[in-house]
Amino acid sequence: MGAITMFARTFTTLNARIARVVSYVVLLLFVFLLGDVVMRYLTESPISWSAEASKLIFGVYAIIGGGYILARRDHVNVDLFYSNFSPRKKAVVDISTSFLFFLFIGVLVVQSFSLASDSVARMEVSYETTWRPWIWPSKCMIVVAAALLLIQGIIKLIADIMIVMGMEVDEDAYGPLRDGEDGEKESV
Amino acid sequence: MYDLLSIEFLTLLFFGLLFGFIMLGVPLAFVLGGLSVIFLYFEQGPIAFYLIASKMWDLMETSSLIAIPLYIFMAMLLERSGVAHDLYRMMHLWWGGVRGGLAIGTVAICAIFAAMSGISGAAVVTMGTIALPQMLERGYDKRLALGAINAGGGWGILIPPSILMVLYALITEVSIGKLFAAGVGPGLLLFVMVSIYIGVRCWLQPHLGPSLPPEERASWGEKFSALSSVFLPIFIIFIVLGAIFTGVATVTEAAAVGVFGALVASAVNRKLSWQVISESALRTFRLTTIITWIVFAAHAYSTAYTAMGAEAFITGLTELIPGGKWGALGFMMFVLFLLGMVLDPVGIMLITLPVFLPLVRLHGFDEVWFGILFVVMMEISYMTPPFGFNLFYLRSVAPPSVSMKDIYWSVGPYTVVELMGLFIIVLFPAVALWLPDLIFATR
Repeated sequence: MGAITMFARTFTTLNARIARVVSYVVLLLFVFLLGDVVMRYLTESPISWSAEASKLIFGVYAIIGGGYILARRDHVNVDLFYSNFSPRKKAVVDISTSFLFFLFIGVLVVQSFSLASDSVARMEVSYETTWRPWIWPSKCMIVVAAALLLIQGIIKLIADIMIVMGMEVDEDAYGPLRDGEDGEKESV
Repeated sequence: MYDLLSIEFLTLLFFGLLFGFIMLGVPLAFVLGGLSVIFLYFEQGPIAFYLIASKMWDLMETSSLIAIPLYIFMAMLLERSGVAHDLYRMMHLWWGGVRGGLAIGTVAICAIFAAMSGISGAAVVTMGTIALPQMLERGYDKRLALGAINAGGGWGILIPPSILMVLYALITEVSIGKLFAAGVGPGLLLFVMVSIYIGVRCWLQPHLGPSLPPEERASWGEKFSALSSVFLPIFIIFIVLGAIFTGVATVTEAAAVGVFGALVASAVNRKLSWQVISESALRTFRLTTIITWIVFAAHAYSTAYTAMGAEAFITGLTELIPGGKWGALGFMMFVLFLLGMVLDPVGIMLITLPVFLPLVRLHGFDEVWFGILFVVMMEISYMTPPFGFNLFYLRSVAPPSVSMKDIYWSVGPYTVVELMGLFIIVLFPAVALWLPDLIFATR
């Protein structure tokens, strides 16, 4: 069990660290887009690459936290009945519906891998502007984001099985992760 | 295999499973994504799976979505900037002498906040923290005060900017600028109607919202010096909406301008620190990730739904609803109302729009106008029990003397007022459409 818990702890911590670092990227988006407007009106020479760069950065920013959000159990769900279930019943329900998650994310991992490897083989660039940035790194990040989410999903499944078997589950390793200023669940 | 199953049966199965799994508490993104994989397999075989990854890439390439983290970041900064505190003080001085005045002032602040932020939670949390204890202390009726915050707090998504409108525009391909402009009139209408409700109710039943005793009322000097608190909000509203409506900046760029405004406001109020930025950034990242994963899964889901060919079937079904196009509209609003009690607005929008949009087009409804009706319904959904976010936000900040039952019951009259507002927008589409027609007529 020790090895599994270590595995769980490693990836839950990794997801949280990635989230902490990537969260600052919003400042970069802010600077790029504001810079674009200011330059356009002050110097009448827009920064040719800033719109495209912010798009490429945003793409990764938007998806990389999927595993982190799962570790926090923050993906939006309907709590109407679920919140009244006992922990054991929650675990049983989650195990029996987990096939949806594994089908979805499994397909995503496989398909994004073929999308990315195709892109890497061509060293794909974007032709939207004269800047012609590489886009294969962004496509590779889909695989990374999907894999991080898949691993966190496996960790959650293990935790649910442990709950059903009546074992003690270490929340720091398996989630729900509570970090930042408040322990509250996030909602949109 | 696919040929053996009738379209009626497949459609029923699709929505039945969707609803069933959602009710079991499975995260929305995984229900939508998992069912898409299953249905794509039965419709077109595993060859269609490449769509799952390519839809995600499409989403990452959508520049209008960059507005989402920026507007959230702006709201998070404003929530911590002290702007609401100064505004409340001002409203207190100006409106305290009127029966129900503190509640009217509170909804006025909610409207101003809504014009600065694109999400709903910020106003509820700040007003629940600042205005609620003050109103209760002054002998305001609990339910009147709670309902005012609940109702006003929802306006964040109707009064521009609005993240929900960004998503609506993404799906329907109408102009975001037009949608934003169309939200102004209805936002003001609801503000006026809710204020009138509070004013009339407290005038008839003074014990619900007593006016401040004369010795506590402010002098004109105090009143005018407090007016300085509106400078920062007006500055922010002016630079963000001004940039969008004059065409100086795109909606996404205007969001960056808004973040700048929020940073300035925090700095002026001496609330700006690395800790504030860092906490705001982390919460922004979480909320953005939650939204984009649902949007992405919903993209896959709408692909599977369209590929199923259920559109014609659903359209045929709605012809059974009596009342022609107005019957169909009423039906859609009713479905939104029901879903609003259990689901969050982003989820509702992404699930229902692929189904509703063909109907809207079939009946020739204006898509901008329909978008506004949709958003008003979502606002109501924020406050309708058992599952409305505003209710939970309020619970988390309200003093212990307030029970969940108080919060639930408080929304009743306000829901009726907002539904009346919706009805007025249906009868007079110009309430929503005059501003976008005015601004975008020549462009």
